[in-house]
Amino acid sequence: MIAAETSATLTGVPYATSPAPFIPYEGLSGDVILESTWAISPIRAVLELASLPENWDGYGSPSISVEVVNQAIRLVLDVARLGIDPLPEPFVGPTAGGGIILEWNLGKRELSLSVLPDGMVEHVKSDSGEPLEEGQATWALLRELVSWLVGPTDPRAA
Amino acid sequence: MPGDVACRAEPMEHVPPVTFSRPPVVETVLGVQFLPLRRLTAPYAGLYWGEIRQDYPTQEVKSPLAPSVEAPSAPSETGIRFFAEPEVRCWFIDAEGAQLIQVQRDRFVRNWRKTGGAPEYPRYGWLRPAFQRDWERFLRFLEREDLGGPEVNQCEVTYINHIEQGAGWQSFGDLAKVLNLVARPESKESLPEPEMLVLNVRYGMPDDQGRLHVTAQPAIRRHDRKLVLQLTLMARGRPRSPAIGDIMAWFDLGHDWIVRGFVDVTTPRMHEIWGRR
Repeated sequence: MIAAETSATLTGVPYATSPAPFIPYEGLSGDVILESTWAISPIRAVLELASLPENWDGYGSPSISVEVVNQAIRLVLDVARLGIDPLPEPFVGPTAGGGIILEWNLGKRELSLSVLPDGMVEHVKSDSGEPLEEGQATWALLRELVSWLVGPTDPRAA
Repeated sequence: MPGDVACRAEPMEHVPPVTFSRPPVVETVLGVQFLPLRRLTAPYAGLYWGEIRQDYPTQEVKSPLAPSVEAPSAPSETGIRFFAEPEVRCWFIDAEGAQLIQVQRDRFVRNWRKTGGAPEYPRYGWLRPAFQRDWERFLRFLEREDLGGPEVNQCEVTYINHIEQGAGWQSFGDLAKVLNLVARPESKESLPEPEMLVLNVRYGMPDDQGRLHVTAQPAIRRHDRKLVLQLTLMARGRPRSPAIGDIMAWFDLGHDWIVRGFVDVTTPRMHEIWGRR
């Protein structure tokens, strides 16, 4: 039995995944076990970034490490596990320095979750192009962030 | 848990052996669990690596596995152990990355995994003596270093298979064409096609010899990003004694259950695709 690596510590901020269902064998191959079809495209997009070469942006950015790819996969699976519906698939892309960003644009609201090269996860919330909030993301905060993205517009903001 | 079914089965003694020319297996495990060897600390794991390094030149360190026991009354009890020292699980990997030994205080596991350099399943007839050779070498090391003799309490045989999307199935609604365990409803009036399928079935072996766990779940294969149905069969149970003969006999039993179980849970249509002989 190969234990799932289910948690990571991000510069003192615990980012632990939610409890996984019973999986009798995790395997060595690194297969990404799916719990919903929603995660298929974002995970494929994350895995595709693993093959970016050094200097992929022409500005000297390094290739994306396995650790960053794994952290981004955990993040996608955690968002999927929230079961918040309807949630569109995020744009998945590389960031300068070897990170990965997941980005949603829903109406006037934008949410980005960035896995930084050191494994930290940061979030930025914007409304109508104006940044509202940014900082380190934790698993506890994830539901709040995604709920805000898909939630009703605050009438006071109108 | 979705699709979880517990069954008691009769001994499977009279079914002829089956082989496939193109089996979908991508990984195998032969492993034993024993009472913790308290003196088998990380430095000794390093010493052991020195002995096998010619065959397994690469190492990785992982978190240890929790102990698991197939108890007759409660399936797959997973325990927690506390030690004063940090626990590690060491991987020792061969040059092709295909053969791997895992060692921790209470485990000795030998894996094969499909790689670009080792694309062919080497067959149980090769894996079995390979385990025996490596296990006996490990026992000699333990004896020489006076680390104690392992009191084996569980044996495990696991086969992981990849059934690719496009090779016998396209959507989760097609999985009745792959797995006998899944039947399409006679009436298609109320339920649409399933959008996801996770299956977990366990079968008790006779005389409390252990259990066979069958799990089917979708996964994305990392190296080519293909959607696969990961079909895992794991047989686990207690050997009659820690003697090597009883361990190997349990492996034969577990492998037999896996082969026959695989044939039972998958469809003749898929057997044809895999080249049943």
